[in-house]
Amino acid sequence: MFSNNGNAQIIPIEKSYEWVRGIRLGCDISRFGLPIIQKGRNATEFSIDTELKRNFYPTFEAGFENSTVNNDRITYKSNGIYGRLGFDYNILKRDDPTNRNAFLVGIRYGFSASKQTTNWNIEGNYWGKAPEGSSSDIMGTHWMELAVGLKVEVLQNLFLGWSIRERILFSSTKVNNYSYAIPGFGNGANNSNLGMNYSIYYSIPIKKVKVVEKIIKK
Amino acid sequence: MIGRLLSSVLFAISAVFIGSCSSDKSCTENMTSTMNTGFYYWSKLNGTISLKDSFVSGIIIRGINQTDSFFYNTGTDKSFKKISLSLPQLNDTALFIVNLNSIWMDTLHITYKRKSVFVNYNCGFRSEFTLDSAWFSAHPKDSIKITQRYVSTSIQENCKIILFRDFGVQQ
Repeated sequence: MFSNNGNAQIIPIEKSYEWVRGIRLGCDISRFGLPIIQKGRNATEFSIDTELKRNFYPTFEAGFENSTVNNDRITYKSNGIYGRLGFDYNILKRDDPTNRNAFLVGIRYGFSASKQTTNWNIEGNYWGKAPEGSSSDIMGTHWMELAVGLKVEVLQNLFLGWSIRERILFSSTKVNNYSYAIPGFGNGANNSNLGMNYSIYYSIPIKKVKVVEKIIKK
Repeated sequence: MIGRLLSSVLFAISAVFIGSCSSDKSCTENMTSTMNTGFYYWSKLNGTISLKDSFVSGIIIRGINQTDSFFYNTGTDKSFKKISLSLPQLNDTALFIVNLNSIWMDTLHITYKRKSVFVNYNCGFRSEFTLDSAWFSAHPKDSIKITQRYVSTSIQENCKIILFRDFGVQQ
């Protein structure tokens, strides 16, 4: 094709390249630091995602979390599993189309099921001790999560990434305000929690996808 | 390139953050709920009747069935406008023997409901109460009035004890 408006020539160029579609498996290594920040909390989280279309990444994350608080006034235990389903979208413009680094914004629907057990002793006063109290609940929680972060290919198929998450509670079957740790969501006393992930990923190459781009060059 | 740099920087910041966190396990909250009770008397001045603060000395208060210990035994050298009484946590009734300067001696009855209230994970739970009724055995029913039913760690007054005259010395 050729056209001329009198001042410039417009030349369409066809450019093709290949990018590798893979299934990316991840592990959130920041969870291993959780017991240092909050003694008694242990969690493990894995993720799976794929670049289904260019810049569009459906994502599933799942994990389990155990939390314990134990002192002379209270014993609290929370055990549960959680999952998050959603997608990320890359907003980073890539000069090199085969570059797989990404600056991602995303959204998730999160859900968890946990058992929350609390036993407590109340300080005595002039009259003596108080009765001991206890509660045990199965709790289901649903939330929405907004995510922003980076994923960088540090070696071939090996990625490092972080994301900051704002978790907004939809609903919970909580019957009290002392659900200290809802797996995947955080402090159950809050309607929203800020969280962070730092993950390592390995992308299993599945298929090379050939893309033909038409570039109009003046 | 920028992405790799940002990622590395954030990783370093995270490591510093994690390293700097510590968990303080001490409880700094007030864990004792008390029923705050003020002393008043009816004042007649120029034909106008009004409720005035009273300051009372020589307060002796003891819980019934608590023979060995006084809740209050203030002596007579100091006067008080209010007192704070803690309530039994195993019952829903409190009985106090109240002796105000040997002029007002009576048994104070208080009925209430108790509940456990979560404070935080360092402090645990504390008892808080909702007052149902309060009365003296021998004095008129209106000599004690509940003004705030919910008893917690607040300094808000819960009850007024209305004396038949001012027998305190204001300090």
